[in-house]
Amino acid sequence: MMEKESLMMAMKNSISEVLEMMFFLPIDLPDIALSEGLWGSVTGDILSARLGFSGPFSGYFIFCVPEKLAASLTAGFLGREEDSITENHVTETVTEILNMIAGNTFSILDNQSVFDLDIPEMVSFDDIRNRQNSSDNIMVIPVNTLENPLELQMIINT
Amino acid sequence: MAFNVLIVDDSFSMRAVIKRTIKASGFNIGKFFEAKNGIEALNILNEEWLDLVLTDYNMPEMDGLTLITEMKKTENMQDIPAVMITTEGSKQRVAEFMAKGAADYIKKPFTPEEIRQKLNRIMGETDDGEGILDDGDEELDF
Repeated sequence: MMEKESLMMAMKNSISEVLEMMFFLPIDLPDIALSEGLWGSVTGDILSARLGFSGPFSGYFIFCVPEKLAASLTAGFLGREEDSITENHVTETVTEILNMIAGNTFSILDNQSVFDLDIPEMVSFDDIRNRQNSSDNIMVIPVNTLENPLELQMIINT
Repeated sequence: MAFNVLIVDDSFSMRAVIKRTIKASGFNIGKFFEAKNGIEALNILNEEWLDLVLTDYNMPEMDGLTLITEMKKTENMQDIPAVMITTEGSKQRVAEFMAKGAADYIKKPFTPEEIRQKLNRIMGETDDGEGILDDGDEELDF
């Protein structure tokens, strides 16, 4: 398997490329190992999507974003007013963001290897927070935006 | 010349964004058609006059690679250029797309400039670097 540092660098570069190129969202990637406390200041629901992958190694990505920020990203992505955005639009945009970030992470990491991506799906944020993973097989990238934080995780199957 | 374009992607949001990006790129568009998967795309290809197909790779029911393979086997579709728009970036996967008959591929995330350059090259149009519109300049019809 790849070095953890290389994976995290690829994840960071991928997040920057996708959010800045497709969503025109300026971001800051704080240099901290874990994102405990990241969600403390967030009001409202947090949406989460999951995308499994397999290849030279396998696992899944998790993407978490506050509902309010997700709605704003969706409106910008679709070129619509926020009050015309439906729950389905938001869900599709969140899963598409994860799909792009995941595919782009592997392209940045190693364009010689083939990774198969599953179809992304929405999952419960509470289930994710309650899940117990060894810190050896989980990589968490917290992201700050002007509005709210968001987070990308990669969990490697052991 | 204006080109009729079929966009194939299981995500409504992504279809809308591809459509918006093509409009913003200044590429010469006639009419847009949309399909959620390869099966829907084949039905539209059988019924409509199309100049170009832009397809996602990873879709339920029928993926983009199978769609291109089916198009190449069908007389009235085999000459329509099909471009893969995908998050896939591995050299092996791209080689597989091209071997099955894809005219080119566009990697997500993409810019309007990339879209315009690729589509103009595929359709044999001159790319003078002009025509990029601000988002506010175009009319959206989702």
